[in-house]
Amino acid sequence: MAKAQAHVEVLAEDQQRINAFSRLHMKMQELERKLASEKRYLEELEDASNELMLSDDDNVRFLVGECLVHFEKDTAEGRLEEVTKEAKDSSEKTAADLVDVKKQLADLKAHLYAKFGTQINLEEE
Amino acid sequence: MASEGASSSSVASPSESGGMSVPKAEFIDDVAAFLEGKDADRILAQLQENLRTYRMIVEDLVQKRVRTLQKLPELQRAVEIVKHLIEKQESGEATVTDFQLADGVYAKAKIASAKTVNLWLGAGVMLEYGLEEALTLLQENEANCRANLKTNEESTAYIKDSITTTEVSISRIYNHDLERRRKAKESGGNS
Repeated sequence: MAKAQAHVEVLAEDQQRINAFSRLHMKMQELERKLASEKRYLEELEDASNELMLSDDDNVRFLVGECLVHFEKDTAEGRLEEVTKEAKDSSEKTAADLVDVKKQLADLKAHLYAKFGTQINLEEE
Repeated sequence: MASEGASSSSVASPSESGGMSVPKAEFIDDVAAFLEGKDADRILAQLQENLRTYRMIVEDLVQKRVRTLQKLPELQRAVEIVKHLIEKQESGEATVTDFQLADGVYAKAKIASAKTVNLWLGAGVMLEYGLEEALTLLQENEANCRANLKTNEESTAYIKDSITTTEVSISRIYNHDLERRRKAKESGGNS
């Protein structure tokens, strides 16, 4: 990494920033994975809702836990709406968390690069 | 008639996921002072060794996390179906369900006013519970599961900090040692 060029000493607070950066980076990856799977789930729910609207069968099988439970169409629609809302709330929260983490990362990055320049590498390896 | 196997494996005690028994990697304030009278190579080897230990712990924590993350949806599904049974029991309706006999083979079943469910507790034990009781137990397990994830996250952050600190220390000591050797060589050559 850094050769002996205008050497900048690492202070305890810098170390803390580097640690925070590394931790947040890990968190970011986890949140990204979570968000992707939540989005996939939402899409599936949307598909289900479309299918349900098109179907004229009044008896629908709905997955409750691990069981296919028979529901009347209206009940199924109501339940699906509830589930969709929950999934939406959850994915919106994840997205907001992700934005927050990314912002913190950008701040830390700016700070660390300003101090250490080429002596530090914070890019994706 | 009333049978719904819900899985709920043992609840790990939060203390064991701590991993806090390992000393934290200390930040070196002044590398030159720190290395005074010490053999840099030996220190580096020691730090590498620490790094290996920390990495093993993190690996362990990550695996535990993956397992817990898999258990969570299982518990959520169990909670969901028990809630459903309670609702149905209160309204006095029967639940009609297609349940799986084998992969791709389903049979129709009618569950009329189920009062109990059998919970799979793990280790070959299944116990019958009243619906409310089962719900409480499952929800407790779910809460524990989430608590475990939280402690796991904290432990991982703690060890991760030690890893980063150690990595930085290694490169600082290495650079410092390099610099010292270079200087020693220069002054040796000049005199």
